[in-house]
Amino acid sequence: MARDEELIGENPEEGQISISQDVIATIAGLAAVDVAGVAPPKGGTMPRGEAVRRLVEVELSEGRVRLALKVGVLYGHAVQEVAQALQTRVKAEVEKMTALPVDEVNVEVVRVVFPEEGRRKGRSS
Amino acid sequence: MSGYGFWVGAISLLLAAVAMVVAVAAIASGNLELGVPGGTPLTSAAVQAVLVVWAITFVAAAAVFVRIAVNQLTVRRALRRQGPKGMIFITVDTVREMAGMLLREELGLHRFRVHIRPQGEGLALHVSLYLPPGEEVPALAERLQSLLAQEVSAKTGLEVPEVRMIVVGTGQPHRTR
Repeated sequence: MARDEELIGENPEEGQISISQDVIATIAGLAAVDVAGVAPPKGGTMPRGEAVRRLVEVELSEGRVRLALKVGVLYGHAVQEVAQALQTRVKAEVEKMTALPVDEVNVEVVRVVFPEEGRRKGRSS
Repeated sequence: MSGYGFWVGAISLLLAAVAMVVAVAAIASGNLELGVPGGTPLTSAAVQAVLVVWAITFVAAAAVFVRIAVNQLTVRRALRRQGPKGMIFITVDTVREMAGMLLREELGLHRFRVHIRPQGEGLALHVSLYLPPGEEVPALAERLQSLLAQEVSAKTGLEVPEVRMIVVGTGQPHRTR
């Protein structure tokens, strides 16, 4: 069954270590926004800090993680390559930081962002 | 509206059509008589005719909705690729925006619409456009077809086996003041 948090370690003397979905979402989101060519999925500017978790849906089940990301792609970048780079980067980062195995990173590319749109949004914000 | 929205619309319209047919049957068997409130009762033949026309209209609209829904869901399947690390799904809007940008930037087109349809394992792109002044259809078609087939395929990893250009009119030359 899917849970909000997952036990990642247990020490009879010192207690349990668990990790919440929000933490995993933040780690995945921060890794995602660093990938070249990734743009915000709904216009505006790219979320920063903990707000990046809005890009990610996390499913935790039986100690395994499944992630779903919704992103835009900057015009000029190959969508397929950006999506594959996202999968690799996010999977590696989440596995490194949480020690939980990531089964899937599903990427949905919802829009193409044009350079002038990015500049316009950047100026207005 | 999503493909599922169109399915809901189609089912609602079919249910309405069934209700019309049931009403026609009830009127024919004498179990139902309709009238305008406060007015004279409508003759059963006229009511039946109106209901039959409504039922046919609803069935036709439902057929259109079903076609759109099937088309949208098939396109969604064509745009989905399962890889070793998970699924990559590129939405129809992304492909449409990309094609639109290529047509504007590379070919200088301004009045056009891009329709996306599933074809085999890939996508067919149909571009309806107004021919810009001074352009020749065969030359434009060749440039448009090779541009969209190559660029969309290279940028999305999806096959583009067909690019169709439909000229729906001619553009007016720009007026200088």
